[in-house]
Amino acid sequence: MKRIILALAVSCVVCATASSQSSVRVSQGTTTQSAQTDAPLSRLPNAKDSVKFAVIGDTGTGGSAQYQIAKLLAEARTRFPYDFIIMMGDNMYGGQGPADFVKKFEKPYKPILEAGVKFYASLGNHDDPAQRYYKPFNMDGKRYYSFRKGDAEFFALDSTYMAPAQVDWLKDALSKSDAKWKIPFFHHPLYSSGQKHGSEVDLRQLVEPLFVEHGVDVVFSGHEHFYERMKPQKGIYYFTEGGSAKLREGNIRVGSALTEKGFDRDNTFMLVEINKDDIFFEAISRAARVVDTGSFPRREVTSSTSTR
Amino acid sequence: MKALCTVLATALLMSSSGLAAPAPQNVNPQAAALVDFQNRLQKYLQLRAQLADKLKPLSSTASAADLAARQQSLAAALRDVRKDARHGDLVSPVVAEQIRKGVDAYFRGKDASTRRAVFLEVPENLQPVINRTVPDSVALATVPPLLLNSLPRLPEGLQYRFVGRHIVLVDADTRLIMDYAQNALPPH
Repeated sequence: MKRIILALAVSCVVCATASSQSSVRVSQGTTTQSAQTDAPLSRLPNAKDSVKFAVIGDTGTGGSAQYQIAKLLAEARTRFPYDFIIMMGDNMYGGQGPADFVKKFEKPYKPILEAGVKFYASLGNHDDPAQRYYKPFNMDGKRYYSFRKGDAEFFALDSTYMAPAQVDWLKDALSKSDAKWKIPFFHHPLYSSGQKHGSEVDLRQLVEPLFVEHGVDVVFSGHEHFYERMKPQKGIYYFTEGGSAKLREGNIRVGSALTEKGFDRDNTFMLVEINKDDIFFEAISRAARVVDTGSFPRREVTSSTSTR
Repeated sequence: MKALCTVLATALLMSSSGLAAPAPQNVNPQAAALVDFQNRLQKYLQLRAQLADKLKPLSSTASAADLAARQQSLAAALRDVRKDARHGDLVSPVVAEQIRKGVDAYFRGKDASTRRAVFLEVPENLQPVINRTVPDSVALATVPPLLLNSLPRLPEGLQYRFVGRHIVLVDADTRLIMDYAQNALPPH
């Protein structure tokens, strides 16, 4: 009996040590290691009147991984009642006929759609631009558009075709926005440690100066089939969530100077909460494990308190 | 002498009043071709709008079947009225040359890995055929934004896309190939 108790105690210590090395907590703009628990979906403040949403990317396969992530998304809502989901593009791989919309969108997300959760899509390189007319994607017939949720304004861009007119629109829309949080999202990541694609340097050259000038704090993208949180670049946090159905296992360059936290071993989705001047995030794997979590304040707030 | 003065005065008067024969003007043929290109694109968009008015317009719908039907009927109508469209009708040789120059300028100095990244998802087994749709199962390779800056501008609703080594002009609503600049892209 004494041996059994000792073995249990040792295994608990080993378990706690192993998990403490795989999660990151961001606080006040600095990064510290913290223990990861096995308890999923419980790190967010879940505050009343906060802006709660989920992030999914590169979803439209119609395969089992998409359905499993969709199931977790639906389950997560019972504990974290997010109002909407932003989609990072590649909403539909392969054929895009009516049956594909059912198999690759309507069916996997049926319980979420029935609960009244809105999806806001951006276009990826696999998407037919006519998807912008598909009402459940809430694009209102536009390739690029914005919408407001509480203190946050979201800017969905079409990074597959960033012609000058879109850049002009973005400049205008960002400058007119009085939202505390300005959050662009689009398919191609400006920064990425992916071996397959990597950073979109062309696109970065055009839009990053606008993000910096207009006080953008956080950007979401997809395209790379994994999860990655970049070290802040020019004060902006970049997330890649392109693994909500497809997975490019082991594709994050080891030792990349860009990566703050990467996860390329399983499919993922994100839950995000904006509560006044802070944003909280969680990336959750197909095994319902929190693989990354943290929070950070708005740049305006940190610069005024000189904590960044 | 009096007669000569009268002739000169009359000539001066005619000249200043614009009655003289117009002198030939220097016109930049490339600029003229680009203006002509824009006019042709506008005419195409007007035609598309007229056809869309007669059909169910492409507007937000919750039904994917309805969306597909509208898209297909518009594409069919455009194909029908443009059945005689030929390569070069929209992208004239002068415009195609401008496109090639823009491409050359963009890729000059780009290293092999950058080129590889640009062409990674370009459909290679597709031929640019006017009035044929780019299949929806084929990914539309992303055109680098800085390259778009150096190509003749297109109105919203029309796009340049890469197909093999060609740059095709695509109707974004129907995915119809309207015209193309042949072999405008470097070998990849």
